[in-house]
Amino acid sequence: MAQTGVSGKTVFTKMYRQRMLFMMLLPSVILITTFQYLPLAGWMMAFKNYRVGHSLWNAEWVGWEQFRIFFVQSQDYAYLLRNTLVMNVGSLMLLLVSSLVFAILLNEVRVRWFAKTVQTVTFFPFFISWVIIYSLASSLFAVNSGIVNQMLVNVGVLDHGLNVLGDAKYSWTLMILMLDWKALGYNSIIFIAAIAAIPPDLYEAAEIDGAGRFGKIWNITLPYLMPTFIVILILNSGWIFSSDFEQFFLFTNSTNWEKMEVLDMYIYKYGLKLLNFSYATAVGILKTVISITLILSINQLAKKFTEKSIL
Amino acid sequence: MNWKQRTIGLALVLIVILSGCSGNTNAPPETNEAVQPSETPQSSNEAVQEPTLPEEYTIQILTTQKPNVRFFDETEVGKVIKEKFNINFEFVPFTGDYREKLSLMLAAGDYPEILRVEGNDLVQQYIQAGVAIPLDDFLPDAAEFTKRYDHHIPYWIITDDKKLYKWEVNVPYGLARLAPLNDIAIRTDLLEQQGWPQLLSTDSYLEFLKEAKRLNPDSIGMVSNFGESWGMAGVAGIMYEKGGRYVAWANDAWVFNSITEQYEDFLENDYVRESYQFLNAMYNAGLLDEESFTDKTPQMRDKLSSGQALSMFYNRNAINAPNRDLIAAGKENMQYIIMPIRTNTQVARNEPRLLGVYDSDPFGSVIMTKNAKDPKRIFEFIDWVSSEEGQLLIQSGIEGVHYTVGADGKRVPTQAFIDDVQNPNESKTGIGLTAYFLPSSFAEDPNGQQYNLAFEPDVRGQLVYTDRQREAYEKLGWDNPFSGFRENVKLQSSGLVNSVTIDPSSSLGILQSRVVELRVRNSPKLIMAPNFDQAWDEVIAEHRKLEPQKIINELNTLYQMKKANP
Repeated sequence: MAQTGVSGKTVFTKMYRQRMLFMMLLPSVILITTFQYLPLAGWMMAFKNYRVGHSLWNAEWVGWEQFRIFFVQSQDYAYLLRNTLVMNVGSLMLLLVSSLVFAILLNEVRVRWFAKTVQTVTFFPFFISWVIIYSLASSLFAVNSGIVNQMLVNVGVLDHGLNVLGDAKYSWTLMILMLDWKALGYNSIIFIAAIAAIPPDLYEAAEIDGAGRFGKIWNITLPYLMPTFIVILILNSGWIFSSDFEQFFLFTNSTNWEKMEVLDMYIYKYGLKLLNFSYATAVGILKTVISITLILSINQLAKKFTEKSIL
Repeated sequence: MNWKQRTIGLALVLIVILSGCSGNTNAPPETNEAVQPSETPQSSNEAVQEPTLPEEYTIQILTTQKPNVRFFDETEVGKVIKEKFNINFEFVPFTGDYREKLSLMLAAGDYPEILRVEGNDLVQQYIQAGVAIPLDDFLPDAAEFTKRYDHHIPYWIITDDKKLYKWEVNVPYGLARLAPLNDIAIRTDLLEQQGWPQLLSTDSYLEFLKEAKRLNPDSIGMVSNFGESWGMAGVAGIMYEKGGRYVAWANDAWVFNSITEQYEDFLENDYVRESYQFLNAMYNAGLLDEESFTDKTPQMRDKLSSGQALSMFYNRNAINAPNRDLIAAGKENMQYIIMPIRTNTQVARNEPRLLGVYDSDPFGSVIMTKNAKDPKRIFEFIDWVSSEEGQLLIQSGIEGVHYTVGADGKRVPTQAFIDDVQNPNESKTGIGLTAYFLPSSFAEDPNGQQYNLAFEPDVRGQLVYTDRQREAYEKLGWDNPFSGFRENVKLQSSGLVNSVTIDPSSSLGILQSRVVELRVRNSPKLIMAPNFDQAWDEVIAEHRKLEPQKIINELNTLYQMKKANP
């Protein structure tokens, strides 16, 4: 029987032959289409004067009015973008670097059971909900009743408790550190897996050449981890304007909102609390458009400077 | 790939698809159907006049209260109502921001048959969305309802179509319900330490609490629950209601001057400024707990229960449970009492304090939604509840069980009633349980008694107040726990105040929410500012940029129009 050449195969034939793979992909495609793409039709709300409970189709068309209100009338965009970018970029950078360093250090631990134990323990916070974390933070850091503040006052380090949860000047540091603590174990797994994939004969060759531990890390481990680092950076850059809503919902209060309120909280406030759906949708659209632009730009930059990209 | 593998693969795909497409299980179950039409009627000793009852009708009630029962017919009063009407209520407790929940329900189109909607702005949203159904068609057959609320119904009509869409639960008011007031709670041992001083002005409290803190350095000063969603908006500037010109009708961008009958800007009000100034002085003197800004009511109560707090600002009912806890901990002398407070200017003017008597209390608005399966039947029940018989049952309980009637026609509580009042967490009587959503008059009955005997002054004084509290009030020179709140006061009807509303979806409505938002955001800054005057001027400047006077002008215009055309 003559073999069918590649040029003779149609797309549909290929798809038919790979139908099982496509069927495995199908549920994900349906879910993403249903819950991520179909709702985009709701973007229409941003251009209409939509009122809750009324028909969206019959609502009055207002064009760019909501966007004008956001940028011109309210001026809220300034502090919102600042807060969102500072905390998210700060979290991302710290998380990536700390996960990388943690993975490298863990890899260097010779006592394997100890390394595994540490890895497991650092993984636990990822599964703790932000509600529990907030309760813990409140118990530890409350101004008067927090254990840490009480201890520091009692030993004379402080005259008066630090209002970590309420004072806006601590907000950014608090959020960045909390997120890092929570996600460190989870993110380090990716780097640990990447380190495990490095051929061991490279390390042997380096040892023969007289490289010490630090030399091996600097010349072998780090360069091999760079592609992983870049990929994670690019992937996360698209989320720069998205914050973990639960985290900010719990930690934002009337005293620290100036430094703590992020875009997602703002959208929640205007959309679901004040029922101004049109305005909230407009802000959401802006967030999405900027995020897409950002991820494409960073991808291009990464391609240009490192010849590595994901798109 | 063989047929077995294909089958397994296909099954896996189908399972994933079906699980992803499963319905929303978060919505409360629609239990309003008559589930057991063949169920044997409850009343075997049938009321002669009603040989057959209609089908059992269970109505879900979303509530922020914490009832001890899930179904109303688990209580004694509920059983009577079930026997009489075959109507039952299923309580669905809710914790969290209730206004947010109301907004979400409206957006999702998921609401029960009867719904308490706190605030005219939200009521209007529900009306405009076509969710709230008009009640006018039922009024001709609702003689008791229209008789009891004849005076109030015009105030409950808030839309241009002049239709009635709601009832309000706790009107009318009587003086007995108005005291004590949401003023300031003080630990009684502190009063004793300083010789039972007469305190009224904010300055007097400031000096008193400074001394109290000096004598009790481990305490945390004054607590409050600013962390609640209504905390900053409703509490920070509240001192304006303690004088002779304003009553706290709402937490919006305005106050209503009952003397001039004019709406005025909230932040431009002198009493509001004094209120913030008092809190600022307290904070800078180290007398205001820093955690107050983030504390909600449970955290505040914990601090009161431990006796850490010297005092509490606002929220008169929050001391009841802590006082019980203090007694249980053997710290009876540290119990709290509510005391009146006024700003320095209010004391100097010495005008009779206005106590608001609600002709309309939008906070207690209840609507029937379009999801009501039998609105006519519901409103027949509402009509009966509005009768004397209904009010006595839901507020005083069953004659012979919870109260007896003396020769003078006045009701006397029984031990069962007393036990119920003193042990609210174990209550199964159902008395007062429906005050959250059913019409429940807070005024006096034809005999001059409160419908709910627990609010009769002599009953309340004995049952609700502890020995220590009564002793403290006596040492302060009061005749009873209420007398200090009834001196130099004047009742003020709300009239049209709460019936005048701005469409929340309009540009002025959105402006109003922005004005309130600005105030809420800047309240902590004002309270914590080292230089109050400078901080106040900055906030006022920012406030004026929003041109809030447009809101005030509109409200005054609408008020005059409504007054001219009732």
